[in-house]
Amino acid sequence: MVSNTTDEDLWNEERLVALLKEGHEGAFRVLVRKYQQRLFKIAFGFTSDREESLDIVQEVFLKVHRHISNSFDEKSKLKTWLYRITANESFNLLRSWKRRLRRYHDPLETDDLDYFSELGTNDFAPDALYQKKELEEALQEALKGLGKNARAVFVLKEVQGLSYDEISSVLKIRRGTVSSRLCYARKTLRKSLEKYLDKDHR
Amino acid sequence: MGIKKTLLLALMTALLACPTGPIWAGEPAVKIVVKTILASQDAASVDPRISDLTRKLQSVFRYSSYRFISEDSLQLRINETGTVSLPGDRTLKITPLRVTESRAELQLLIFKKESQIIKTRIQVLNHGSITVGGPEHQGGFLLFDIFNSF
Amino acid sequence: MKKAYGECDEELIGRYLDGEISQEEYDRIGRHLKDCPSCQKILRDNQGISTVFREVLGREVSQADFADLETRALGQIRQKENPWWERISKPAFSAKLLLPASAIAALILFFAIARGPATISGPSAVIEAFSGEVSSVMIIETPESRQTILWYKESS
Repeated sequence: MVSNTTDEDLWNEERLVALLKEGHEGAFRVLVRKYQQRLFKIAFGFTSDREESLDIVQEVFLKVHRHISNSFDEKSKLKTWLYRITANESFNLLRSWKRRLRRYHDPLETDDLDYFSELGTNDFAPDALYQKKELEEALQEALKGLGKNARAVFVLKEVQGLSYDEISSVLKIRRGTVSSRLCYARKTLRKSLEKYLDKDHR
Repeated sequence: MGIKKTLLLALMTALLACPTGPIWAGEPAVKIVVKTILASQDAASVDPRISDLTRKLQSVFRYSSYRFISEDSLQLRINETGTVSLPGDRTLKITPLRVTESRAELQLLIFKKESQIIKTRIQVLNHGSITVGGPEHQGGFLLFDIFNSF
Repeated sequence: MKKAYGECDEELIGRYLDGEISQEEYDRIGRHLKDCPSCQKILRDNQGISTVFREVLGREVSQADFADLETRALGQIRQKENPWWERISKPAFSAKLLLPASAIAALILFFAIARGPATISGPSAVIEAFSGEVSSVMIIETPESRQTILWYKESS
């Protein structure tokens, strides 16, 4: 794919990183536009919460701005670094007092997603749709039960389609560990979602 | 950097010039303002009367709506008790106990109907407040922001 | 530790699903899957979970406000570059609005005093004693403004 526009230049990673290090605002805009959705998906994989995920992504970009000159090793890939920061920020949020406080504090808010209120009563929802919503909700619950290590590899794999080697770089674990944690994650999820997964061939 | 130094100098001068007279036991010593707010998950709304407080609360809570319900002002001497009615058959009784240079010591009692629910003694910064919450009320939670100045 | 040819190997199925597999392993599992309904189900279930998860993500992405995120992120970054005192002396909007330094100082001083010392010396309220007929109580301080919040839950 060949293109001579200056935008394409900016998207070229080496040049982008150089401009980011200079604090070039246009470069940051490109960075945000290029990565915000991906990072959001990763954050959401960890938090299951749209607002928190948006907050995390914002925080990630701020950190990039602060640290790109001193912490980023040009030999590594920008996206690996971004994914790692996002995973860490997500872990931090999950552990934070603030989140525990909010969850404690909001008896009106349930941990479940509010799909059911959109559907109205069960009587009016078509069966298949209702089951799907139930499955999605159960999946979110099951993910929460996974534990941080297994969840991390599952999210990076499913959200971003990263290879085992890439996941290994992001999380700084051995490739074999990636494989075994993924296996454990899937096994646990299958068990939790047993009743939603079809028994026979569909 | 000229501006920074100018500011610093001006600030220091102003602080030195601030009068700090003695507090006479007989005269009204402490002004108290109690704002009652209803926090809930209703459609987002921010009342400008409480926008400052709402902003602070939003860093901690996840309510989408903060509604201003009422405001009461009191002027109290040391050891004089003032009463404020709160929603839901509740009552707040405030007694200033003493005043130091930067804080006022207050005793707060909250009653529901005739029973005492809360008793607390606090030291509040001058021109500052404590936010007490949150009895359930009409699908939300009540917050009482108790502000003082002297 | 390699599993025997005829046995079910979940991890291998996972690597098969992810394309992280050697040619030899690929052939081996291909043969195994033909005859093993339980491994077929494992594969199918893994794929199903993956699909549902991606659908949820897709929906969340479509409903999230990225334009707003972009504005906020860039705004924050811009703020970090220009500390407030520089922004006052070099307003971005108009060069004609340069106020004399003393007027600026007076304005800032006014706001600082009008707000009171609440942000300087500790939490807005220190709780010395507490008792109550409550089922729980929490004392919270907001992160930046150090506003004290006393939260209780009535027991009835």
